[in-house]
Amino acid sequence: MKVGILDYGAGNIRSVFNAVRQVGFDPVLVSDPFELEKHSHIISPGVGNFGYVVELFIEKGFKEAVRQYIQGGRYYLGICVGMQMLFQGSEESPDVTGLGVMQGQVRKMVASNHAVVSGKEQSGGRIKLPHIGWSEILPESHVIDKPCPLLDGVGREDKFYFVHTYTAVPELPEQLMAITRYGENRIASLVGHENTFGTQFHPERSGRFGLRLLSNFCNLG
Amino acid sequence: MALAKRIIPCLDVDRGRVVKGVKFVDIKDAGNPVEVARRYDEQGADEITFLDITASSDDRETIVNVVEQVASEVFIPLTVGGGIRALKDIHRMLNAGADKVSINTTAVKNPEFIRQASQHFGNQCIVVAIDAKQVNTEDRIPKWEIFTHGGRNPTGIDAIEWSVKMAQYGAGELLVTSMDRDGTKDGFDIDLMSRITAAVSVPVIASGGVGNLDHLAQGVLKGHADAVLAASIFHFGEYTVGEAKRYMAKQGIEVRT
Repeated sequence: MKVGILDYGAGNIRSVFNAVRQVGFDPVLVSDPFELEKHSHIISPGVGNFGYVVELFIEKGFKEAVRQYIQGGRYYLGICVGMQMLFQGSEESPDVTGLGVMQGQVRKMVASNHAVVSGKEQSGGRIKLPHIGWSEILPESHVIDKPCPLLDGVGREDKFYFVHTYTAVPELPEQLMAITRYGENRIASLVGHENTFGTQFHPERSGRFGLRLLSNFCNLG
Repeated sequence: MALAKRIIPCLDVDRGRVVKGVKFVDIKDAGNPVEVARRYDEQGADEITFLDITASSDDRETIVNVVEQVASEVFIPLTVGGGIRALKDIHRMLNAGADKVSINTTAVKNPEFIRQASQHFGNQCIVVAIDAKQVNTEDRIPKWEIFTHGGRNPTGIDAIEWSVKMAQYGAGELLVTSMDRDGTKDGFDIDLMSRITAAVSVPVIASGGVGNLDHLAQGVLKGHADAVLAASIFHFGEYTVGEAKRYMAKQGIEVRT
């Protein structure tokens, strides 16, 4: 396994780097698109505005190179905006397009002031944006028949750390691996298509289950 | 099913050591930040906040080293506050491994900085810290004023109005500390917290005054805080984060276990 972490100027690279090391791999920071082909596993962090992140990606020559890398069938994991970028575009920045590896758009979530039907919701039941904090991910029913390898060792109730205002809306149900409910929002928290995966949450910041998921990814193949 | 309420231990760091004062003075040593952070992570802390209270700018680099070391061993979100004056300071903290920065004095001096910072780095990593103190009014309607420079300088700015303004300018979260309660162990200023949580739509972290586990629960139940921050009850071994979570869960609060 040769794990690379994309370094294009818009990610919490160090957190991802530290977490991958923690699970026993020796990751390399990839800042040159021509270096992609030397890796079997690529992780793309991404934090901030969708348009800003995509433009940095283009500027550094990664957009086309990553598409080719993914088409070549090697393992790819996008985190947060790195995941959203796998889709066709985002409401946050209508002028730019995503990688289009997965079909669907990224949309703004809905905040609400009214109570949620849940005995446990405090804060007057308000749904605030950004969605910041620990929420559980619920595997989709098709994943129960054909388990997603990234969820090996992760239980149904386990929580992951989220920080976001937008969520991907995949058009193909089979690419949606797990969702997270937040008020009336149905967040695409884990997506997968062949060897490409994306998490809306931050596995590198999600304690032991996050590390488990990263370990599962790095051990694929 | 809901979003879990967070428990955030706060580490005041002075020249590379964890310290804790009462009402921003009377400082006691509470250990090595890397060891303390690792212990809280093992206990189930949802996040850790570092507040750099180092007075001399010569010693500012030490907090960067602390963050780097903690981030290489602890895999939960880290927030760093203290001395954030320019975009380059934020960049340096995020590069060191912080997930968020907390900004207080600079926001008061130049509110536009919050707008720039959130546009540049995304509002998810911009926390505005608000130190508020109740002031007397003639008609006895409660009023809180914000203070800067670690609670030393009054500003004349109303805390509720300021909270609303900072959320509009792009703060992703507000860290609200009651200076009347900080270090007293009398519990959060619930009146202040509930007014701010009602006024803004971004998450609010309640801080200042926690002396027992019920205080943490009340911050959520009555103050409607999204997260509760405490220092001394955890630092001196009175309670573990795990005990705090079990207590909150018993009160019907969703926590991460």
